[in-house]
Amino acid sequence: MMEQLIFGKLSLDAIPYHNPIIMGAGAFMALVATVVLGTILYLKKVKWIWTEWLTSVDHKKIGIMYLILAGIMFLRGFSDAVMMRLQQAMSVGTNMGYLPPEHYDQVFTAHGVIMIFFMAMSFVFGLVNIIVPEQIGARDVAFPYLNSLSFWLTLSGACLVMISLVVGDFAATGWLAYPPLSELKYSPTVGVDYYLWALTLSGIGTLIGGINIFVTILRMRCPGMTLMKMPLFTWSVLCSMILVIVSFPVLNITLFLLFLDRFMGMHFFTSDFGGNPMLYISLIWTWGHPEVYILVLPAFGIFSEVVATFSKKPLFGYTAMVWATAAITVLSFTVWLHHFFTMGAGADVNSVFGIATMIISVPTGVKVFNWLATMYRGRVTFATPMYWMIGFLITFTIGGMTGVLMSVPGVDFQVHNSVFLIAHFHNTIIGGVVFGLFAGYTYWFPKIFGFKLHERLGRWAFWLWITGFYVAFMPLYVLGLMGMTRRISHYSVESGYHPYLIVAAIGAGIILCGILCQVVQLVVSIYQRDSNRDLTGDPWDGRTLEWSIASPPPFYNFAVTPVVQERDQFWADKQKRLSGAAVIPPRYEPLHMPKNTSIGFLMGVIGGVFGFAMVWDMALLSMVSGVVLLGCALARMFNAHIDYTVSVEEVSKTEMKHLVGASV
Amino acid sequence: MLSSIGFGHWLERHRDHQGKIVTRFKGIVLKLITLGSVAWLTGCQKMEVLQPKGPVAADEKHLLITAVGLMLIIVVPVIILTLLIAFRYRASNKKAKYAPEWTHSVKLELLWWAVPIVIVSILAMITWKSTHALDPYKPLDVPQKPITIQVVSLNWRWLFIYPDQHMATLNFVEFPVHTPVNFRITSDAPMNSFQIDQLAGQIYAMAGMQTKLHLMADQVGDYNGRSVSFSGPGFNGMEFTARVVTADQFAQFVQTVQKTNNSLTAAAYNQLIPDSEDTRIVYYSSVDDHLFEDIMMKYMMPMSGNDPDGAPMAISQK
Repeated sequence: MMEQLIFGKLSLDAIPYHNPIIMGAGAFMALVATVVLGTILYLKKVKWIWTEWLTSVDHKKIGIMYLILAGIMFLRGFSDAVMMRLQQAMSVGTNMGYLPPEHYDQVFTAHGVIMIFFMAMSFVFGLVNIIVPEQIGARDVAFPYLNSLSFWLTLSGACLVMISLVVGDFAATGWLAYPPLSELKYSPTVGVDYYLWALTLSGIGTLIGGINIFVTILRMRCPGMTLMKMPLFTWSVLCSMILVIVSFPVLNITLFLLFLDRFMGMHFFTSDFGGNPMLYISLIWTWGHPEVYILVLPAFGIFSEVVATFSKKPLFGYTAMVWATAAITVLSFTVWLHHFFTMGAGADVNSVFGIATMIISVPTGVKVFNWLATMYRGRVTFATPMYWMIGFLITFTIGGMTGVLMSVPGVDFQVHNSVFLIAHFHNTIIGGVVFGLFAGYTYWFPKIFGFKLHERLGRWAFWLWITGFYVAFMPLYVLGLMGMTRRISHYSVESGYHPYLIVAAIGAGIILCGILCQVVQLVVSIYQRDSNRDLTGDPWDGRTLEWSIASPPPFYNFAVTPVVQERDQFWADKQKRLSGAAVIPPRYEPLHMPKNTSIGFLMGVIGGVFGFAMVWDMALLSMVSGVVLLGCALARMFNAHIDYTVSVEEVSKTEMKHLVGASV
Repeated sequence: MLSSIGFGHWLERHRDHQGKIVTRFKGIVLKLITLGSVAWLTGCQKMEVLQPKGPVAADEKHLLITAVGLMLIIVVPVIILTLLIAFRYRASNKKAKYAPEWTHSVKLELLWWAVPIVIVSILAMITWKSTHALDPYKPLDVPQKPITIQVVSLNWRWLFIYPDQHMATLNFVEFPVHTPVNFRITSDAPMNSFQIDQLAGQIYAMAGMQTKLHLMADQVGDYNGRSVSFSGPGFNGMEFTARVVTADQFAQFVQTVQKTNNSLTAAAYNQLIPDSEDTRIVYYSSVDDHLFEDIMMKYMMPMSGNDPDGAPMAISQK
């Protein structure tokens, strides 16, 4: 009885000792964790980690932690991808490959979940966190503590996914866990519970983060920066956060209802007792389609900044770009049904949603033309971010075409659920989101860390990535037309799939080389950082406010709050300075800054424990951690000492340091 | 691409003393080319979606090609423009015009709002028409008398019930050529999706519900049928052959099945419900009346275990 209360369903049998792949991965994870912890202990950096990182509410540090999380989860998600490509390249005819279906199904589920929720979302939130306050002339986000809470909740969700690798199993249902397959009847193990709790924790984190950035943009812009003077990246983030605020509650509630089905024996989505799985599919896509735009809008924003900077021209058609972004935001809520044309809706409904989907391609097309017009009659410098830009324009256009193709219901009936669909959305997500994030990473890296990334390795990474992408995914378009279904782990010789899948696997190998190039690039850049230092704060001759401060910026970003009169204020300032306008010496004032807090970190950890306890039905632990979680939140609410003032002396001292650094 | 250029260059430098590597490299390239062309050829033979064998799939193929063609009107110029502009306005090309203040042009912007709008409008009209014409629920507009086949997706097999012939088949379906087939589809398992791609697009199979698909074959032959919506660990095996034969052959087939002396009673059906990856073909010479309806209805009234008439429900609740 007591054992049941403490351990719930958990026993030592939950660890798959017999599976060498899983145990190897687990051992590797343990090794990395040990090395990291050991290094911290050896260098006596525990206190530094605690005060400078774990309890930090500095938006830049939280952003960097998001980026690190994205990087780690990217490697995990990509390992899953390579495993799938290998399995499909091997498993033909009598050869069953090396992964049994039960394992393969978890791999493709984990791949989707990790890449969307923990790689792409963390990457987006990382860049947004760091750059948005700097672009709008703010000293931090509106709710610094909530920002830290968002990150730690996301991290605890990611940890649950990683733990599921070694303790128990992960969902084997596909990344959206359609019922009735995800119901207790067909998925009796803890896999789906891990899925539910990982996404619930990170989903709450994302929702809080979305509200935070939304308020930050609306309330904390520097004097003079009207909405129509905001940089386009900030605009795209504003729209993206609106989508987060509207759509993430739908995800959280939908997952909660599925949890009630599984945990309390309710029947929201079961086939029997009046439940309806179609309801889940409709709800999950009500979140899921806007989610695509939550990811791609910031990427569009990044490209808008990159193309203007490297073409030495203001962004072409700014107003049209803003309206196009806003139009996409609204339209993205009107198309979710195109994910299930094949569920038996009538012709009227299907055509309306199909046509709504096509309409999105109009503002998107306008954006493409405006980017081209920005380069037109510019002076285009081909630094690495610009390579990603060109790769994006071509790849995303093709992905957009296959997307519009699938919005025609008659065509969708044929290619839906086939690997044609897989090729399409990787075409847009890799070509759009991932290329965009890489462009942003390279572009803002010197701002974040104070030195540039190695250029040549960056270009190598680009060429390998784009080649690998086309080699890996073009065969999938062909395979889709040959009738190959997604999510199969074995096929016959007669199907004729095999040669194409070998080519696709080679493509994945080329992408792997690209990723290795990026890892080497990071290591080499850190090693050679002294020769790549950005002392001016403006390594690319930028146009927006983030380039007007030091790299990396001081913890308060702006010693003096900037005042804006124009869209590309920093560019205008530089022109004025060139024409010999007098530089007025700054007059510092005391700054109001938020204090560090450990509550966000604690709530993340305890939230993770709570999730784990819920997965395994550990009654005692879930109750205790639930109460502590609530206690933490309450304790924070009654804490009035959350801010402090930075004195003028300290500001001028810090500014001097940066000036000295810049003059060396 | 780049990597191969770099490699080729390296090889050239070493050609004199390392002729062997060159031959080996050539060998690899030859092998890759062979592999590639074999892939292309086998692919061309098996592009099922592009090789329709019935009117519905043929219309869907034409729709696909029309839509791609329409979109290429924009996509090709965009790709060419991207490359041209990027090349022409590279910073090192000082001859190119530089207009750092040029950020807005009403004419141009009107143009590139208008072109996508026109193309999308055309595509929208095509979509509205084709979606109604190709509605899978709409019976085909042909004079021939249709045949009805009821389809049940199981974990992980397909059951086909011929209500008019009072017979059933497992993992195999056969029907006559030039005859409209009215599929009525449900599931006694997680969601699946029913598709014979050379004959028509897919429709979901869901428990407690009935979906419909209408198609017809123009040519005799064996076509691949499959579930295309993931339904669990046995999903790989959710395939079946759809055999299209002449009317005479079909009559013979019906006789063969009806002679098997194997009847699909409620009890026999219950044997099919538990998970199984046994995809052997089974014929049933007779089928309980209303079996298909009962399979659906058991999800509607799981509490009572009875059908409305008060007779005990024979199908197990699993």
